Amino acid sequence: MPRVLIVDDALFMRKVLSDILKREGMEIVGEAENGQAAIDKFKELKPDLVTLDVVMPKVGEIDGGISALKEIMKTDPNAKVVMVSAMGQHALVVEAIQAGAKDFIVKPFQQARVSQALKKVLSGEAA
Amino acid sequence: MDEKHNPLDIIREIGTIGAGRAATALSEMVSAPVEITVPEVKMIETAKFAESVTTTGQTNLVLVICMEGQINGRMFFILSPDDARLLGSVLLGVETTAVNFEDSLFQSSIKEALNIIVGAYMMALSEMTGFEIMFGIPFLALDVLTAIFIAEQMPMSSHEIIYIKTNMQIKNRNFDGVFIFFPDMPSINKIFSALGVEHHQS
Repeated sequence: MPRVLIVDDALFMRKVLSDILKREGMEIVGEAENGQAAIDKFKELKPDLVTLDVVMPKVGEIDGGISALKEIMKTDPNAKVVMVSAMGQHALVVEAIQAGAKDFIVKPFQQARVSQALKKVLSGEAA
Repeated sequence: MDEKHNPLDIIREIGTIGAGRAATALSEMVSAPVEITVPEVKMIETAKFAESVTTTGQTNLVLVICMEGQINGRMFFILSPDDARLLGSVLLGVETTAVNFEDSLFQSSIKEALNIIVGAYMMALSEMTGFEIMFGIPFLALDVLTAIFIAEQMPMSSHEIIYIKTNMQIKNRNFDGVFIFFPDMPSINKIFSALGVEHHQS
């Protein structure tokens, strides 16, 4: 069962995504509400995959999802990270993909799209 | 654009496009059909709006978002407590009596839903003007409007506001919300110029 870390500052979106991933047979090993907590939990839990919200409040030196992504990729260059974005965040998604994210999903979530993207990344098919 | 348009017609068009997109996105969120209409659009002098707000002491749930980039200003989406309770019950799948305004899951769900609506309006504005609009991190306030607007220094930077009343129908329930956009003065001039609108500040 794939082990997933969910990172989003919105509790409701963490719950919605968690419900979808559980239905898809994935295990939620942890949740984080900011970039710094995401880095800490990534090191601690070593998940198979991270879903990482692009826009989150700055905590310490970590300003949002892209900053957290870069730190995670430094820790593990093979990390599988899928960015979570909302409408109108195209430029940030492009920046994240260039920084090592494997794919992205858009809020509000469509179960089919989420499932397809995450399974593709887990199987190693995505870039 | 050579032909000059009426500002309210253009704002209504932006509202209608944004409402359609917001309805699609919210429909995915609640897994049910959602209809959003824009029954009223107006532009109001900030000072007059501030006066009207001070006469109502009602507490409201308000999403506040800052805008940066080529357009600067602040956006608010206002829900009455009754409508917030109804929307929360739909989003969380619970009875209205079970909705607790202090509950962090309720607040988070309302914030995400309103963020989708506001984002859809602003995407429509961005596409029609060609301006890149960057959003700050939204926050939810539960207070009387006067207190929220003063805290956000609403009267300081804007001369006019754009007001879009928004009606939502979700799962046979009907909600009204109000979207208010306070662009700063250079931004409102840029917006109307880009839209080819004849606009004289009152």
